[in-house]
Amino acid sequence: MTLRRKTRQGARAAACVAAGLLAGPAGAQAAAQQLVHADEWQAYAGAFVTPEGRITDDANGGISHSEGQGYGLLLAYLAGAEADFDRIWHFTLAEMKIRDDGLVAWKWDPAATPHITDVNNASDGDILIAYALALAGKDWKKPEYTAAAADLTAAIGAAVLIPDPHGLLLLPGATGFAEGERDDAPVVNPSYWIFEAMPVLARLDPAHDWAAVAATGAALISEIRFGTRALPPDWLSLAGEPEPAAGFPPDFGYNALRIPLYLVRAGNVDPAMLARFREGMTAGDGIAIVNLATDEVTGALDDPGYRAIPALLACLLGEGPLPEELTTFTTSHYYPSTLHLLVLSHARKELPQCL
Amino acid sequence: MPLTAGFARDRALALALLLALPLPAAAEQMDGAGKVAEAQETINVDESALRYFARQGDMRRLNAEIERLKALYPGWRPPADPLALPPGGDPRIEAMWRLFAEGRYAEVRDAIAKTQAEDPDWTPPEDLLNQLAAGETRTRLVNASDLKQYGTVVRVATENPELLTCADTDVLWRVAEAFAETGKGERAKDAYSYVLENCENPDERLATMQKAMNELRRPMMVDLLSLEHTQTDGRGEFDSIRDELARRAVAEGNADAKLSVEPADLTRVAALFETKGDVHDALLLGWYHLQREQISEASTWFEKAHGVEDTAVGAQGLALTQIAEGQFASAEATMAPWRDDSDAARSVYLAASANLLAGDPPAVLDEAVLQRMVPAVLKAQDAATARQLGWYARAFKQEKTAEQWFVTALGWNAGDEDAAYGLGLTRVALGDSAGLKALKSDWSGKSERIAALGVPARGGSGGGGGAARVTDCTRYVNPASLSAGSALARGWCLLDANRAMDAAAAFGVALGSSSAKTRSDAAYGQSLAYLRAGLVDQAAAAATRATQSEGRSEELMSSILSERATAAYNRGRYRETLEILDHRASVAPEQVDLMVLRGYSLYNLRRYHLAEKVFEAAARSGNAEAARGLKLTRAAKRNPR
Repeated sequence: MTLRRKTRQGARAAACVAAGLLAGPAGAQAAAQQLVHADEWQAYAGAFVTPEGRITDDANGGISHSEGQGYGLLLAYLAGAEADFDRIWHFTLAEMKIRDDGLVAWKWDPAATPHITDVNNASDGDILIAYALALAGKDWKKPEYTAAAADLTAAIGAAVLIPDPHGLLLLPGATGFAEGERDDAPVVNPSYWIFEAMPVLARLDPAHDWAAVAATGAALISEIRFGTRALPPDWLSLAGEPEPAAGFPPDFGYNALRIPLYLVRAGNVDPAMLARFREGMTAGDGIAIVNLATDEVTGALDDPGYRAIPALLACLLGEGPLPEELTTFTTSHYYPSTLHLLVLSHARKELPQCL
Repeated sequence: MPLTAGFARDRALALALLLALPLPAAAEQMDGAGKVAEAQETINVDESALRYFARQGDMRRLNAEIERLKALYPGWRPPADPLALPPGGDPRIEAMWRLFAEGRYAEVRDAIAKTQAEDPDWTPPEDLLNQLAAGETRTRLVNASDLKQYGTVVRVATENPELLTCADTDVLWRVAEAFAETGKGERAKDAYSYVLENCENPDERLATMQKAMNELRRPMMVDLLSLEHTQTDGRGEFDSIRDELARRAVAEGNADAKLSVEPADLTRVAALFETKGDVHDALLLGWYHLQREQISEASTWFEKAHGVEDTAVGAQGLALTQIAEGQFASAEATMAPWRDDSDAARSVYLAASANLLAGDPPAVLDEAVLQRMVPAVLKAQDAATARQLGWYARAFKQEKTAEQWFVTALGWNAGDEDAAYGLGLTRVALGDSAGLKALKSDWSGKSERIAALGVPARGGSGGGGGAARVTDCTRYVNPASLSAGSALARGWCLLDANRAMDAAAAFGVALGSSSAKTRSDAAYGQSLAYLRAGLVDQAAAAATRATQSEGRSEELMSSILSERATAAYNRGRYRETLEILDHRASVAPEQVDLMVLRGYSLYNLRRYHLAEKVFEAAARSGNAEAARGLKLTRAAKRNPR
């Protein structure tokens, strides 16, 4: 198979949906869950969720992927949008969760027939979906979600966890990354470790050592530092001495920029970690895409959703709250919009001082 | 809710799918449970979907819904005219059914959620929720099926047996396919059987068999055929399936000559061709027989096919039978229009051409034939046919052209020894000693006959070696008791006494000598002894048992070749005779008796022009046999047979 490469375009969205304009009637749910505000969710769903329950990656030709479905479920849960959550889940189930091994096919293209153009999975998408299902199943007392979460987690555990001298590794997919499948295997994507999900998955799937998976990811991220900016790459080969994986740009890029957000959301506020990423990933007002082989900054991402990440790190380092413009959500593209809501929802829950 | 017949039957299928059990007859179950249900109280059946589909004129969904409700509520009878049903009920539900009918399941869920939010007392119809879930599950099953995730297909089907109904045979087919593709043929057969035992739509029944045919082996298909219904015209509904099965059996036989095909299948396909005249049926039979080297049957069928339509594939079959029957000119002509159609067609064309060129006698080919043959050879860079063009040119003494073709053939296949040999002969004929030397150097150690080309011959010496001859060898002596030297002497004595086999045995003992000279003499003597006995192959083998001087080895070789040429002629192998004589002529001058042999070989190959020249030359030496041959040849030239 060909390795997939996630690409994202960082251009700022031309059209912003004014917050609150599309606010609907979804306000009845428990306020504790509304870490994503109703108006924010309405704007997000209006821009990126189709009536069928498909999250569209508008910067990638309107395709959908399991990661997007997972983010959509998580944000719908955080918004308390039960009907939307149900819609997204049923689309994911019927259209994408069709693999024999119980995992989710990662890529769905509206222009292709069949719509699944690559039946391989993406482990971060699987984890996000299982995590969101587990949260929703528990809080909304929906045993069918919990059961689905447990099934999916067990399938993930069976398919993509492999022991390695570095620890229990999370492979990015069930095929294509392990020994014998490419020369520089194993290859991992450090941004696929969604740390906040690991304790939840551990409870659902006692058969696999999810704590060890989390520990492996944390250690890799802490130790793997390339270039003067001391950053981890999007794709990492652990065949010998760790190095950026062949066939991918040797970048700290669209994938890896999520890593500090995931660490913070999981409760890691180690100042050294925060400082490392804040210094390493910042370019002007936004996030640097860094070629780790040359130290060259090849791009700067300045959508509010991107800027919110270093701003959150700065707040945790005692540099004061997020700039006001970042505390209000407006949609740009799917990916930065998603990141923005993940920043805001976390700040509302744990770091009100940053808002 | 009591367990109804519909669910009982579906569960039975689900169980059967899981456990590979034979399915119980559904009709019995329906009857039994139906009686129970009739005794029940009047049931409140939600007919909102029925009304909606009827009003939309969506007969497929309407019928599916009727069947579903019948299965759910055996006491329920569908309205006589569903289209006359009055509009009724909740317009919100109507709208939901509309979305449902359009497959917009997520929006139905959304509408349900919104309606519930607006009206907390409102509950969605259970029927709608069930159908919605079933619709989504069906979508999932179809998606998994499209992506060949057969494990998911089977899992979804067994967890949702309500999907497995006659109202949706596509799902049943997909489940059957998933079983078959995961090596569970029996379960696949059960699923197809389910349709044939329970479902009535004739098109779907036929389609079921067509799908089964792609998944199941023949014996299972035979089982399924037993579920055939007889049509009103008295014919079975699966006649076309039987035809197709016969065709496939024959086609499989085409791919594998060892496969035995039922005569009934062959007969059926033959009858199909006779009644319907489909060229493909004739071709199937042609290939079938050709694969089994039943050339005349194959030829019959390819001719029939050709009579209906000339196709590239049909032409190849016909040409192959023509080649097998030695009709090379016909084969070439058959393939000529298709020679550029495909690689396969071109190779059949070239095979026909090569055979045509190699014909005995060489056919005098039309200019047009050669003109289409040459570009095909060049395009395919086919060394074998190029070489044959070389031999063909030689046969007409066009040595320069022959040389070019042999060189071309060697350019495409440097290891083509026959082309190299032809080139060597041509260079001998052209007197190109430098070219010959270069060729022999290239082939040094790789071909004896090329090595022997053009070596100047010496006069044959009948004499033996230097060992003392014994003059009396009439008394029997066990040769094994002799010394090597004595055995050698005795061998010559025996040979002189015309006791060739005893001589060969004595020389055999002498071959054990430690002296190279004695071994060489012994091998030479033994070879001569075998030649005398007419054992040419043994003579040739003996000649190689020890190194010979150049003169002796040429003598032996020319003798051996003479014997072989005579033997070949006596077996009627005239072309081979000529080849051996050519070979010999490159080693030693041709004696008159061998020229006569050449003349008669050419005469028998009807190459009268060349035969006449050879006989003329031989007759000049006063040879009576040559004069007779010349007379015969000239007569034949005037009146060719």
